[in-house]
Amino acid sequence: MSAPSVQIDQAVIDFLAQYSPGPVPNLDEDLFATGRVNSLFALQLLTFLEKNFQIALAPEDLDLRNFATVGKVTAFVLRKQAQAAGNA
Amino acid sequence: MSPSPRLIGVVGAGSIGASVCADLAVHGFRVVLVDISPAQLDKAKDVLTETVRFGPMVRPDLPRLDVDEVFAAVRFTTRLEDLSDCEFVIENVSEHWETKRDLYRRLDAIVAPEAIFGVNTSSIPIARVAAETSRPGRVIGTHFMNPSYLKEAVEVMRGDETSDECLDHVLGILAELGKEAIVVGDFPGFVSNRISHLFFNEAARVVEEHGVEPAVVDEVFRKCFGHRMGPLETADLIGLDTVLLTLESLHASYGDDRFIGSALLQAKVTSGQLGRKTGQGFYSYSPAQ
Repeated sequence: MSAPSVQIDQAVIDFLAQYSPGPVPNLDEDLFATGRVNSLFALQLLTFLEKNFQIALAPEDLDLRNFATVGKVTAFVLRKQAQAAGNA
Repeated sequence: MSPSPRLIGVVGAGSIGASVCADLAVHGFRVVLVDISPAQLDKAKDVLTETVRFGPMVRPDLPRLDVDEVFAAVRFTTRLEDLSDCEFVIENVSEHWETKRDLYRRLDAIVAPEAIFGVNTSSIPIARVAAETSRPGRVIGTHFMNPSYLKEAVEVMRGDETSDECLDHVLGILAELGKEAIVVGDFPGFVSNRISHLFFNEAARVVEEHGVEPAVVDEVFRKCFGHRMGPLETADLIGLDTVLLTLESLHASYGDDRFIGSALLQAKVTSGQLGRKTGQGFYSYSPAQ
């Protein structure tokens, strides 16, 4: 069963806080464009998402635009979970 | 039949060693990664998996590779003896002189005499390391930055005795990694750390003496100078204990009091606030999930 979006938002924000101190970002803040995180964070985020939301990333998922904002990350996780449920 | 991939050794599987190992592996080298800690080697395996799978997202020129095939080319070991056949060994252990000295004496006895040693140091002169070996002409400084596979260049420190042949050999390997070599001389801290650590130290003093918030200091560097990161967030990333150790080494070398760690930096290290790795440095970080 997939997690509700607010729960995913919070998990991503908590993970982000390990790398980027300071105020909590808006859900639509571009984390890379604002310099809040760098590309190394993106790699670690993907590992975090796989481990915590039981999703498996495929090569076609590897597009930074999928992970540029907290909102986009959550949408991505929900999409992958829905795909997995559809294939089950 | 294609020639067997070249074999490179990496000593020390901390964040930079693991990163260099992954960079070499995704560029087709065979690698022997040595660390005294099996747990550290396990972390390096995670870094390698992450780099192989996700690296092409942030660096599109990296090849998309099969994880199992890459792992088959990397040996994770606690035995220095497994480095015996390497053509080039990149050392990444702590900046404690005694640790490096003892390691190089052992490596010199184990690794083939024609092999090259690359010292990935932040402040220790290459000549000092070379003097502990029987191959001073084949010792060179290679200051990789983290994460290695995202960096375009490596600071290369040529010691007085480093041979032309050694330099050419290392430049060739760096070229295969897609990196430019910026060759500098052999002096404490080299170009990068002699300057950067003064930034770190003075930034800490600005906080300590004038009450400026760390975020404000870093904002000036990011937004006015265009740096990717400010000095205090960089120091937190490196580890404040490592920064202080490097400052102490620079102070011992130059005798210049500008390199004495600021009281605030020393207090943070004493209290265990070492930066991102402990969750608290100049900034607070939430605990790892």
